[in-house]
Amino acid sequence: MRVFVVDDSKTMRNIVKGVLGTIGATAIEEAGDGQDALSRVDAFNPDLILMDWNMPVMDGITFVKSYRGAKKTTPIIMVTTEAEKSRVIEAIQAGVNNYAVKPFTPEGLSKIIETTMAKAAAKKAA
Amino acid sequence: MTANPEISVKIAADGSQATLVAPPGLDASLLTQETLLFQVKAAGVLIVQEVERSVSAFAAAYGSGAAARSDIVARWDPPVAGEDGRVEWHKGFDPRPEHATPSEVRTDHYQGQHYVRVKTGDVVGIAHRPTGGTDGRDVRGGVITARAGKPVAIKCRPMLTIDSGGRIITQADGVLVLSGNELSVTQSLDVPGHVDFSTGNIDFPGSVAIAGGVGSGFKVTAGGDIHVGGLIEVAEIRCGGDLIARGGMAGNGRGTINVVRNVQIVYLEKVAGALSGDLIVEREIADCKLIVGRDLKCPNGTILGGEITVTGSLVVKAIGSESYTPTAITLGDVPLLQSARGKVAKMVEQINATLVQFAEQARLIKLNPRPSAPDKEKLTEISFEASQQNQELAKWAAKLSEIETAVTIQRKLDVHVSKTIHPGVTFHIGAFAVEFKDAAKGPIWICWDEQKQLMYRTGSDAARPLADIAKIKRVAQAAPAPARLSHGHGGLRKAS
Repeated sequence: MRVFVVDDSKTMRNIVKGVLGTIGATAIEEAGDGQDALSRVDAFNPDLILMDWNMPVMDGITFVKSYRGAKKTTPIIMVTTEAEKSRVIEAIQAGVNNYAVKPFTPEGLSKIIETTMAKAAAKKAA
Repeated sequence: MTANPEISVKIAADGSQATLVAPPGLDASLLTQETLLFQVKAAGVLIVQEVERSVSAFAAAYGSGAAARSDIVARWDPPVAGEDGRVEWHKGFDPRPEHATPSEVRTDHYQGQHYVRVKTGDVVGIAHRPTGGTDGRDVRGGVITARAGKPVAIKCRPMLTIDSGGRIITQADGVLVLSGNELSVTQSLDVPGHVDFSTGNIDFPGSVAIAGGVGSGFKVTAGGDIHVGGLIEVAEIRCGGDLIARGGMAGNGRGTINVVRNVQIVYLEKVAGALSGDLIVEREIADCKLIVGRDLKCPNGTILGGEITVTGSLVVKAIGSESYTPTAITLGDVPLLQSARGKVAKMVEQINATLVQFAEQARLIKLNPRPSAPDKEKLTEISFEASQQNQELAKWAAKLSEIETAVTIQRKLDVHVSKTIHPGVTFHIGAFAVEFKDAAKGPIWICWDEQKQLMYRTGSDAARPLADIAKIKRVAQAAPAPARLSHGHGGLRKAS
């Protein structure tokens, strides 16, 4: 599984990478903001994108709108402290597949990733 | 045109040159380049430009014919022999003994190693192919075949390959050995003589066989077994397998051994060290400080002086001497594992302390009913770190449990002395010091009875309290039996 991790916090990226390491990610690419991610995401061709919301230059929601606007279907999980219902709805409407609210546990994030990938695989097969 | 019989062309027997000879007094007008060339050609010489020039020069030089003339007018093109195949060794990989680092270049003579260690995939050199050479031509135009170069004299054994570019590549870790014309990689290092300045220290990942002894000041480190044919002097021996010595070791208080498995040796004198397996000594253990991980077997020899710790059984002919040589033997202790146990227990303690800190940090953050985004990220970090630490904890706790099991299995009191325990000998057994003030004649057997009383037995007699023949003092609280930890980390603190 190829995963693109986008978060302005290097610590948080490392944490997420640690979790991905336990669930068999084969390749991980990192970016510190949405703009950087947008410029490199096609070249990396990920199976999954883990996206923070609040970041400098370009925030996560803008990335999602832009990415989905280009008809890209790679699953995206928003990993964020933004826990309010309105924010979650906004993200889902923008095209996010799932939502992980900080603080999360490694086990919790693993489960969300597995669920998201299973759903994406089922959708693809249908 | 006819040949002038007075003019001759002499061709060397090997065809290397042709000489035109004209006596004096010939009609110079008849000695033209054309007529002379005719003569030379008629003699069988191949006419090439060089021959034409030489003949022309001959005719001019003959002049009026005042004197006889003899000139070489044709020469051969000699063959050029091909170059023999050869190996161009890469730096540091030349296995020929004469190419070892010269002793005068080395700054540490003990460090000079006269063997070539290789790892899998090392390119040790290039095998250059022989060349065919260039054929020659004699003055008649006949081809003289050049001698082709001989192939590389070295044959590579299976542990080495030569690729299409001639690169000689090792296929295994070991030592590169050139024996005769056979190049090989061997996993065992043979030292044909002594370990001394001619060999330098030995540090080898496999087994080492030393035909001679090990000189003072040298170190022999091997990942596998070490076999020594001669005397080991004040040396440092580190061995990942068995140490088997056909001689003894005279350590003079500075020689050391550290052996992962067993030691078999003729004698040990003033040697310090530890081994995890059995120690088998043929003759004597004198003034040594040793920790023996399992059994000490010296059925025909004596332990004289020093401090010996034996985890398993002890079989020896005699201990101490008639001259009251202080000899201390600690029995049933497992210092090698105790040390490991201490380290692991410390790790577990540190991890637990870290987890407590994490739990406290998390608790303080959670006191705020509306934590900020950085607080939430911090809580994620804590959760992740705690998860990592818990995994470590589980690993170390399992390790600790393994050690406890090993301690329980290995620890025992089983002493057989066939001849004498001399006065001056002290056994340290758990919390007790057992001092022999008088000689105890063997065969004698010492062990615990079912009530955990120290007992002895001689011959076929019934067991008696050891206190009957030795003074037993309680010197310290016995090391508590290590508390058993459950597997995993269920019994240990875990951060929330």
